[in-house]
Order: sequence, then structure tokens, then C-alpha cells
Amino acid sequence: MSPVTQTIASKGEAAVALKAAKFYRYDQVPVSDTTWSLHAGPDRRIYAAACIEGRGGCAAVIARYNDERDALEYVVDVGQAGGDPPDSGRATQCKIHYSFAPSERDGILYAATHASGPALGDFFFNISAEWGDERKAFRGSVLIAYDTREDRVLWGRPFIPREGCRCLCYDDERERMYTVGWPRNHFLVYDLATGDMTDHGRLGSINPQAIWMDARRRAYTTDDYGRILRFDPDRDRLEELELRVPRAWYMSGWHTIIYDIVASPDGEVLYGIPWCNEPHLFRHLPLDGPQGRIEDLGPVSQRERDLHHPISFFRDHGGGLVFGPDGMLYYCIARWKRGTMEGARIARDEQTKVLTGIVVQMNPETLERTDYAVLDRGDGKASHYVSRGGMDRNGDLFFGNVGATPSGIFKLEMDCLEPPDPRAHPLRLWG
Amino acid sequence: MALDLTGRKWPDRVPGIGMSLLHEGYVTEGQMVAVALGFPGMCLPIPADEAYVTALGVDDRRVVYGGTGGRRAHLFAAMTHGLTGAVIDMGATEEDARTTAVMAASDGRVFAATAPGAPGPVPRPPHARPAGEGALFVHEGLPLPYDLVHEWQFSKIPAQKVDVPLPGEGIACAVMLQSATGGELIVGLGEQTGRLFTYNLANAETAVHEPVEERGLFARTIVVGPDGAVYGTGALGELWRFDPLTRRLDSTGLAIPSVAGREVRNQADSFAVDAARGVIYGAGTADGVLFDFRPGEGTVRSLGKPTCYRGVKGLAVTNDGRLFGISGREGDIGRLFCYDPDGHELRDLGMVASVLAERVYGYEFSCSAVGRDGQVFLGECDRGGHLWIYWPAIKPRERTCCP
Repeated sequence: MSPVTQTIASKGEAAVALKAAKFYRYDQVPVSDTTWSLHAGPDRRIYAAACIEGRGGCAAVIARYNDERDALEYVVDVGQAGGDPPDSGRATQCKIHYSFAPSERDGILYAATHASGPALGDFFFNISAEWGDERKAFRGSVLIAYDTREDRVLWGRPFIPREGCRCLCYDDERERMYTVGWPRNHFLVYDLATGDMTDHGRLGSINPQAIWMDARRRAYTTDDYGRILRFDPDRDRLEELELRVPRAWYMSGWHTIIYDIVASPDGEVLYGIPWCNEPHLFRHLPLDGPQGRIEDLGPVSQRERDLHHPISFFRDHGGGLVFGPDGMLYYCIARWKRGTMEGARIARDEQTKVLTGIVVQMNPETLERTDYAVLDRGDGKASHYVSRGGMDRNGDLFFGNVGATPSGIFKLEMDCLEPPDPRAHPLRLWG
Repeated sequence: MALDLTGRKWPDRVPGIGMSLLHEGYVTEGQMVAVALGFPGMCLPIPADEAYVTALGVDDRRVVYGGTGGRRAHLFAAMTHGLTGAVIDMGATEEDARTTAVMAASDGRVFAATAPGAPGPVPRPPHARPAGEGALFVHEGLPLPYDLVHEWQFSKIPAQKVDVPLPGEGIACAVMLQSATGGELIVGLGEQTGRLFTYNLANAETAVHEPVEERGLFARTIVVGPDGAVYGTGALGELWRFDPLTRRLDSTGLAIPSVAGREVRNQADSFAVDAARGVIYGAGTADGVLFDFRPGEGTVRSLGKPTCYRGVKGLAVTNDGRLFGISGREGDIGRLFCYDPDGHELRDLGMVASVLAERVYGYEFSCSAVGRDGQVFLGECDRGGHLWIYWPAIKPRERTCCP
């Protein structure tokens, strides 16, 4: 048996009941409303960003799951670490979007901040409208280096001037970061050693939510129509490939930007989900031919819907892709009660009456999918929207929850007999 | 070491007033539409790295011609009336270059001027002048196609290089006007030396004239005034006048406005002409101060700043005399503004977005042209740029009859 399958105990007959994930709320950040980023750090512990978008004058906090105490602890005050206090009167460092990136070599977890939260005393912030106002505008994203071995912030430095950081990808061999700024949506390459940022131009209007790499360390992302863009570091050039993210038959392709994507343990294949209605899971084989290849693996959410009515992305959603210790692919979707998809806006504390968060298990060899676990915060609030997933050193899976206050993370115990071999489960290098 | 946040006092949430603020930050007066530089649904647009729109011109058939910059500069024709609805790529002209002018002649030919150096995401410093030279190109023009709803036929005919009027330097800007003999004349400006040249369409002869300014302190944009002369600015934003009939270059003795003390870095950023009123509108590079220049009266009047930004691009006067433009320069989030000379009112109309045709935000613009119906065409100077069309709002009439 390969290393990835040795850690799972034999289950005998397949279980019919779904497992339940346990929810951990950010008890010390009671005003948190989103967890946009969750990641296995270089120490293989789970780090998550407690973000605060809906309230002015608040900076994000980085939390960590302490597997010895089975509890969350808080390790970085992002406003403090980034040198941009939340009471500055400017728009705040309110979140870390899909922008964690680990460096296994030196044990550093990098985190880049994003914007959307208003300044202290304000109720609204439009980054574009405030663009020319030096006193109120967002100062710019900051990049924070957290040493997971010494448990301290090494440094925080200005990252993308005036813009938030939507997503981050780290090439630890070249020590450079790939990122996309918001709102201008330029593809940027950051040299960690020199601090130089190279701008390779605008991608479109809709921020892609991820940048990923192939085994040759070429970086990929998408434009507004889901066309795959590739940055080749050897040629120092952004290229438009003849590949597109798949979509449902009734869509034009607009808004099929990448949402989440994860590499198989051997690094050869990537599995992704776009940010659109009826998102299709797809498989990207970047080394298959000069352009690579994409395979459509079909929709992740249920077809039952009115095709003539637009659906909220916060209901029809898939995310949290992660490979488990058993070599299976796991991801989270929202499942809604029949007849409720186009209904009235659902009160925040009644979301679980019509929407259920499901963790789906997919066998990458057979493509067979099975409902594996259910996500329920236990307080009636939205439990279905998962941003990102990660696996910790014990082989348990974690998912970031979005949509309710306070925010938090889910833990799904995988009952591993022994910790997964890190060599068989390389760290994800992009947020 | 873990933080203890248990005692932290979090700010209270300030009650909001709804989502209207978001929408009203964008242009809601009139209609803004972006079209991709291609035939929608049929072929790919001009490659993103070659689609920084840098020049626009219109012909008598309502076809809008444009030029781009990037890894390769392109010419394109945008057809938006009848049974058309496409932007057709007329081919690439130069590599690592930008189109600095597109001019439609009365015989249907389209002329373009180029300069070396591609636009890019990082603004080039004002003093930087890429090596290479610019050229004049001519294209025979694109015939109207058959029916772009049902079936069509196109031929791709490349533009021809006709002249390098200023060897060793790019053409910063060029304009077309009626010559003394009744034919058409192109007047162009050298990017580095500031030398003017004239190119006669009838006999294809080029003549090079004196520089507008010896020290390189001149605007890289020029305009044909209501009197048929060519205007631009030199040191300290002083307006010069070139008479194509006499080939004489004179100073007007007038300077365009800036914030006091910043005259040394002030040049014209863009121009637009209201021929009916004899006005040349413009804005300065130093501070984005808008001005009203009347060559016939010998006056320059400051109209103020449309926004806090320092640059102004894409100035255009519509059929009813209103002036529109984009406030902002490279790296800014551009804003559309309007100056109404009848009401003496200068207003910001908001940030730019298109929700019909292409659904995009518009950030950086470089040029404009006015269509025959008064619509304003704007060239988006960004990677993957679009051609934007703005239809200004039509004011309701005042009620004059009895109820």
C-alpha cells in the first residue's frame, strides 16, 4: 500500500451516517465575521484568519488550532504586525484573503492582508472611490512573516501599495511570490529577498481567487472568462493559454474565475473549482502537452434550480479542496432544500433550515463521489460556506467558515492511526 | 506566544444606509458601455498585451478607427451602426510601440502615427524616451461588411509604412487638417526634439520644421484649433501656435493654468475643441487644472480641477457643447467628469464601469473621439483594453405649455 493509504484504519462496511465536524468559534474575536484563509503551516498545524469586514476600525487576527488543548489560540494581531493600527482613520487591515503561504525550509508562515473593512467610525468603504484620498484610503496590503518555530512575528512590511492582496502563491525555490492586487487586478511578482515588485499588467475586472503552480514552478491563474493564464518565470512573461475552466452549458464563461484549487499529493494534477453558479470541479494537467489539459469533472452542486434566475454565490458554492490522509479529495458544498434556492433572503440565524454544508469525498482514481460529513455550527447560523481546507499533522481536516458572527473553523477527525507522512503530503504553497 | 484578547474592546458597528452608495460612486448619468477589441463570440480580441488603446479617430461613415500599443501596436476599426457591431483588427504595425495618432482622410484612407516604447502597467517616467523611431502608416480603410448578424466576409489587408518623418525619434502626436491648397495635411510632433513636420497627403511630401522648444520642455500632445492652426505647449505651459499656411511658429504669450509654483512641470495633458464657440479646452499635467483657451480672443481661463487627481485624459466636446473627460493618470482609478459651459458647471460623474456588453471596470484611459451623434468614444489604455462608448444624458425640456 502506498504511504497515503496506510494511516487509515479499516472501516469494514461503509458507514451510512455522515460524520459530523466540530465547530470552533473565535471566542476571543467575537466580532469576526469571516474566515477567508485557512492553511497548514510549515509546522503542519492549522492557521486561520479571523477576519472582520463588517465593522470599522478592526484588524484581522491569525488564529491557530492547538491540537494538544483541542482549542484555538491567537498568535498574530495583524494590525500590530503590519504596522498599520486599526484606529488610524484609514481603511483597515481587516482580513487575510486567500493569502497564506508556508515556507517549510525555514518554518515561516507568510500572510498578506486584504481590504474591505471601513475605517474606525465609518460604516462604508469603497476602495476605488477613496483612491486619491491619502488620509482615508487603504494604505496598502502588508506582508507578515511569522516564525512558527519560535512563535513570533519576524517582520511586517508594505506589500502592494494602495491595494489589497486577493491571493498569494509562494515559489520557495525562487523565493518569490505571485499575487493579484485588488481592485486594479494586476498580476504581480514579488521578490522576497529584494522586496522588488514587478507588475505584469491587468488580468481583467474580476479578481481570480487563487494562483497555483505546476511541478515546474510555472504559475497559473484565470481571466474574467476562465481562460487559463500562465506565468513562466524563465521567460518572465504572462501567457494566455488555449484552455478554459469548464462551465455549465447555459453560461457564457464569464465569471468562471478560479475559486479554489489543490494539487494531488504527487503534484502532477490539480483539482479546482471556479467561482460561479453551478461550479464544475475540474482537473488540470499542466504538463500534458505544451498547453496542458483540463478535464471537466462535472458540477459540484445540485442541478435543481431555475436556470432563468441568478443564484447567490453564497448559496451555490463549492470550496475547501483538500487531500486527506487516505489520498481522497475532500471539498465542501452547500446543499439546499428543494424549492428554496430562489426564495427570499434567509435570516442569518435561520440559514441551516434550508442550507446544509456537506463535505464530499471523491476518489481521484474512480471519480466516485460520496457525501462524507456534515457541517453545522450548532447555532443555526450559516454553516455551508467554506473558504479553504487544510490537513494538520495528525491527518485531521479543517475548513474555514464564512457567513456568521463570530466566525470560526470546522474540524473533521479522520481517525488516523498514525500521523501522515509529510513526504507524502507536500504543503500547499498557495492560499 | 499566544495573545490574550479577552480584554480587548472592539469598536461598535456603525449603522449603514444601504447599498446605494456603492452604485452611485459609478457613472449613473448617461450610459457607459465597453466593447472588446474583437468580434464578440466569433474570434478572440486583440491579445491583451497588445491592446492598450492609445489613439482614436472617426471617419465620415461613423467608423471609429483606433490604435493600440504593446508588444505590437495594432490598428483597428470599430463599427457600431447598422448591421455591424464588431471591432476588426486591421493588423499590427510595429513591435514594442504605441500608436500616437489615428486620422481618417476624406478619401477613406486611414493614417496612423507611431512612437517606440510600449505602454505597460508601470508608468514610464516623463523624461524617459525609448530608443527607436516612429513612422507614418496608411491603411486603405475598411469597407463596410455585409450583415454581421447573418454572414460576412473580411479581408485582412496590412497597413503600409509611408514615411519616417523624423529619423531617430518617435512621433508624439499628429493631427490632420486642410492644407492651403485644399488637400489634407498631417502635422506631427517629434517626441524627443519637439520638431514639427508636415506630410502632404496629395504628393506624399514631408517637410521638417523648427522645434517647438529647445530643451525638451513641451507637451507631447497637439491640437488643431478653430482657426486651422496647430497649438501645443512649451516651457512653463506656454501655448505656441503653428500656422500650416506660412509654416510659422509663434508663442501666444499665454500659459495654461496650474497650481501656483508648479508651472515648471506643467504641460498640456490633453485637448478638445469646440469649433462652434471657438474654444480649445485642455488640462495641465502638473495638477489637472482644466482651462478654456480662446485663440481668437487671446484668453486663457482656468475652469478648476474636476477631482483630486492630477491628470486628465480623453477630453471630448459633444454636439451640445458639453465637455467630457477622464480625470486620473496612470495608476489611478479614473473618473468621468463633465463641464457644461452653458451652466458654468464642472461636475464629477463617477468612476467608470460597463454593465452592458462587457462587464468591466474602467481604470485608465488615454484618448477619445466624438461620434457624429455626440457619443464619446474612449480608449482604455490598460492590458486587455476596451473601446468604451459613452452616451451622455439628454436633459429634459422645460415645460412651456399649459398643463
